[in-house]
Amino acid sequence: MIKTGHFAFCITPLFTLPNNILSNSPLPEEPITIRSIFLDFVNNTRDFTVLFDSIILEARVLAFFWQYHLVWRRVFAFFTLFLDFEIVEILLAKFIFDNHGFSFNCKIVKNNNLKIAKYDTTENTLLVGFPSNGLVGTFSISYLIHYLKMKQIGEIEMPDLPSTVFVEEGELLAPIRAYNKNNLFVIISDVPFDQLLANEFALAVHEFCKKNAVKKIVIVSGMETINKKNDTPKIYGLITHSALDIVLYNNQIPKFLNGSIFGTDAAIISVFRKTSIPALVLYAECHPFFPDPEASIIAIVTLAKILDVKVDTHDIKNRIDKLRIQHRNLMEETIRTLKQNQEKQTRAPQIYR
Amino acid sequence: MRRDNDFEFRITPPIVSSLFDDVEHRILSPLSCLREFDNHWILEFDLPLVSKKDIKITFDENIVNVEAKLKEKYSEEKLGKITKFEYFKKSISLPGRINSKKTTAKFQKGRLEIKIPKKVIGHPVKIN
Repeated sequence: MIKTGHFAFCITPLFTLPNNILSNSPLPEEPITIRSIFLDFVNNTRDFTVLFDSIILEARVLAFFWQYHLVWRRVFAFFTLFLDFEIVEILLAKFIFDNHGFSFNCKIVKNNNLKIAKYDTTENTLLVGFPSNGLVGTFSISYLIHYLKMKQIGEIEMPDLPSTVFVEEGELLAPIRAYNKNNLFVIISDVPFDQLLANEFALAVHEFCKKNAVKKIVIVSGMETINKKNDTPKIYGLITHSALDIVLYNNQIPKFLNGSIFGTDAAIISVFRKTSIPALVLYAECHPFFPDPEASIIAIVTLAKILDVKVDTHDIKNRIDKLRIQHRNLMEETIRTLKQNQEKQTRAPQIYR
Repeated sequence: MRRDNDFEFRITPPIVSSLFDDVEHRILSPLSCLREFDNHWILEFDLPLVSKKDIKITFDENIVNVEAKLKEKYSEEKLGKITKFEYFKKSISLPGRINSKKTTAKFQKGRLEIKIPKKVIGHPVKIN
């Protein structure tokens, strides 16, 4: 149904489609109205403009109306008898927006004048993993290191970190290590950080990025969903720079919209949002107090899509139960550290949040 | 990280490690967490490698004991010595009176969740 677009249009403000529209699920999870969808878009946007890749976006918007609103289908079919397919789509999208009280600055420009933001898989990318909720970061990043056969290239030293050395089959391992393969870098920590160490770690990660010409970083962490009823964990993305919107969009990762973040994730986000290096944090729904390799598998699959690499998760699936037993102590230590971080955090009174 | 629309609860975190594996009796100590609600407690145990039929829950006043046999032996190497574990076992003391008769439990994906109603003893105070 979608033809190659000769035109693209510019929308201000930017909106992001929720996952239930982008996915192939037959119906949205909750009853939604057109107005509520666009209110969501508008409420969660900031002041910037993005040119979308040709007609994919509007075609998907249209697909939604196509599916649920017979009247739009008829209108669309009627106008395509007289006008170009893409122009009808754009005009119809504009009409829909206008009728629901949202400004829609539609500007048709020729394709050769466009600079479309594309995710570049050849740029140096850094993955960061550390113990957090469900040990999602630790499991997923260490599995990728193992699966992609990455080589250790160094260690991250932090003066305030208590002296710790791990011994693995006679080999000495520092608690925070750096790995590399091609344009992919990894920093993994086997120890959880308190608030002071988290800031130090975030600065060390930034220093590493500068030295290795890293263009973007991806952090993998867990989001506590102790009352979750769904069987399959979901994954959400949080970005520090709009340049990574395209990554969320292309990989159909819903944005993390509301909540509070503390600990190492917050420290890294705080450091990178002030720099020119964009950061994406992937939050997989997980049990906060127990190791959750199942959530880690979702994170691995998402990471593989983002990085455009093939990763087979059978090995980790087969070892889920043993991994849960094996990492009990690290999980307990992580909970203790996270709890300390949470208690130290100054929080706004409930009424103002 | 947490989402703000999750309801609030109180958690009793362990101050010191609560995981003491009994090497001699081949018993592992499972992870557990306790949450307090208005009129009940939710006590959770992480019991991977366990079948529902092999779990035993008992009460001793306000102490909950959980024992479970592993489907297969779990080996762990510590200081060059391999130990094989066969059971999970842990006792948790709840910080209040409990109604053990109305307690319910469910076991899903290797996680045991015990819902324990609180026993309310007291009398209402009249407000003038």
